[in-house]
Amino acid sequence: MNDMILEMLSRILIPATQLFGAYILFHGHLSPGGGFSGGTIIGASFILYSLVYRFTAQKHRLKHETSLWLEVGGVLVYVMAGLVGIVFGRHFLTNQGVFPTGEPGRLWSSGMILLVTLGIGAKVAGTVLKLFQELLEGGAEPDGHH
Amino acid sequence: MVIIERLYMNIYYLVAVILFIIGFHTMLTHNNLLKKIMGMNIMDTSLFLFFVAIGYIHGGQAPILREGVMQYVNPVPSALILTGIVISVSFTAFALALVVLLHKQYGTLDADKIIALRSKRHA
Amino acid sequence: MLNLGHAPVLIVVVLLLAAFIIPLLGKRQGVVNAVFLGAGAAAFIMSLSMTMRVLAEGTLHYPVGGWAAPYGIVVLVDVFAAYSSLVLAMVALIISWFAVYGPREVRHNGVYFTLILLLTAAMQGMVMAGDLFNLFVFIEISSLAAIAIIAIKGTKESVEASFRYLVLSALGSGGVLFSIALIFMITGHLNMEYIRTTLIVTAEQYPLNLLTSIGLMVVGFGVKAALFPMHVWLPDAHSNAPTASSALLSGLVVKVYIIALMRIAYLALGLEIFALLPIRHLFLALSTGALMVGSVFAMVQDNAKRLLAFSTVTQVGYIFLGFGLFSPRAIEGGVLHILNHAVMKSLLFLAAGVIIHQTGIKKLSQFNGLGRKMPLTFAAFTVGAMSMVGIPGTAGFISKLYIALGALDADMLVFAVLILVSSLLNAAYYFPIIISAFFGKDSEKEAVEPRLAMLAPILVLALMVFFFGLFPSLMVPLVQQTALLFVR
Repeated sequence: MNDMILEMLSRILIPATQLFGAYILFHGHLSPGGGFSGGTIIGASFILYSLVYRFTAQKHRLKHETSLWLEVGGVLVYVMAGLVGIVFGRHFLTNQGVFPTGEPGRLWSSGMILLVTLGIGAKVAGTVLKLFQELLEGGAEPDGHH
Repeated sequence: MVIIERLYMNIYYLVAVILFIIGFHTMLTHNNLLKKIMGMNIMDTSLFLFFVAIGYIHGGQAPILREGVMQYVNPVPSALILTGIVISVSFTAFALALVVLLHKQYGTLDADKIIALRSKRHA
Repeated sequence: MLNLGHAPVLIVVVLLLAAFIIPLLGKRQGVVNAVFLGAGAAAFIMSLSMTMRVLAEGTLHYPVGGWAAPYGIVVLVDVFAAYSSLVLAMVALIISWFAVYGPREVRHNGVYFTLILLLTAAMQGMVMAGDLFNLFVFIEISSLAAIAIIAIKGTKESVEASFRYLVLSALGSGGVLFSIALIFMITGHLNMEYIRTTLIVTAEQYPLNLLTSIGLMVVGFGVKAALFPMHVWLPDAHSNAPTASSALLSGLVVKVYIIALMRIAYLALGLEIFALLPIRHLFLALSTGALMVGSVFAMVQDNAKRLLAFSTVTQVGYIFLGFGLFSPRAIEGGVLHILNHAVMKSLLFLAAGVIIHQTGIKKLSQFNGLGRKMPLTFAAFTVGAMSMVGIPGTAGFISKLYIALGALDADMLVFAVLILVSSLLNAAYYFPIIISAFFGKDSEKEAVEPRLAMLAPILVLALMVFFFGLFPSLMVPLVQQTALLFVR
């Protein structure tokens, strides 16, 4: 089934949603927003993509590896950013004495907070996609597809 | 009048407690598994409302540093509730996954029927 | 490079990291096993070093991100937390070994290991959390993981039991979150030590809030810890899980909630709460019910794992009894019982799992004569059962003795008698199994001992039962200092 309205609309909607998600993600440490909200919005765009293209060619489908790597990658980024503090002899997940601390209003300040936010965003987007995939295919295999 | 005024002052807490009881009741008494999950969500939402109401200050602004704003609402409860929502979403997703499995295995979403089917297998 | 002063966070981080790396490794089973057991071993070593340090230097405060309380999140490791962390790491490592080399009961070992690691990480985080909200988050992670390791077996019964567990667990979480909100409302803090100092002033102004909060907290944690009469979910959930999960759930998970509740009691609410409110009497009444009802229900069970699950209800009652009596020796007994029961109940569940796997027999009435065919496994089972009953020389004897002595200290002789009666009831359902297994007429079933890798964790646990029974002095400094936290 190829629905032109769906396809045309999703071509506009998906990038717009992702851009908005990225905006929220990048502003998490300075203004309302952050990893979870931004990640969910980006995850929603993935869900929209899977919903629109799930009936068309197999090559368009988002793979399970995509969500897995997003999830695990997000966690790894978070933990690595946290461990930097320990390596420098400070505390876990610290900015102090390792990264420059933040200035109000400047996007590219506040050290690893942005990094951590991006990690969370990736993790959340991956999780949202993964939950969707698992629930969608729940009928195919009893305990999911791994 | 005093009572009405006190009720009005605590309206958020009141609504939160009522929602909590509705959710609690739905969760325990309804046989349909999906309704149980809905009850769980109502209960969680009531707690989010309660938490956010604690941090709300009448006339307070969003806690972003700006000129000319004197009073901010307390951002801590909102930040906590974000985590609470994440947890609630995970619980819901997991519960739904279990319901899918249960429906496949027992062919019904009625808790009583499931228990009856299970005890018949044992007998 | 890594300074072990960071152990309080590193324990959780290492376990979580391993949990997330395992799905990436896919089908490479050898690597997966290595990462899984390596993370458990690393957690154990760090926990041991942390405990040494706490014993030498006193309570550790670890400010995450370098931000001190009340603005930052603080990991607070006192003696009780260190002791609990050590018990968790030790028993979880042994059960992990069994999960790797024991009978295979789940289709995807990698997912199973991830869940076990998430569960242990959450439990470690829970006992060390310094503020209520992090505590709540870890409670939720551990609840989800605990439900998942039951459902992963995939049988009809296990999925049904885990759904029921999920509903009640969500109710418990709701209660706990509500009570945290009420405490936050009257104190404005989440850090437990700051809550205590604020409560001294504000408790009198808001007695209703505090009372509601404590009530919800006891009920919330009571559901999760399976305190009688909120134990209804436990027998089904614990008996229908894969063997390693059963051991983890019965041995560790129910107790972690007791630890969390008691930590909130003395860290956040202050000990005055025990004098003002009849919490102790509630604990005493409910644990009496648990001691009696758990045993009576256990007696009529014919399914081996169900019997052990009901026995857990009783043993949780013992721990609450220790805290309810509130004399120093009773608390020491309760705290020791957390360790001792973790060891002996894991031993019994693993041994029962091996017996079921080797013979295919689940019914206790068909265990006759199997003891002569599988002497080592049944000997280990006997050791665990003896410890449950409280035969001198086993670990269970020490903790029961301490609780009974504590009852005498508190001038409540009736509870010492209760412990005696409950021990006799335990004997009444454990000994017939053993007698028929060793001296009953031969069964037609063929049965052989499992391979050594599968048997090893069981034998280690059996040795630990004797070890902690004969050398209780090893844990005494930790346990005594823990009791001092309660009875100052």
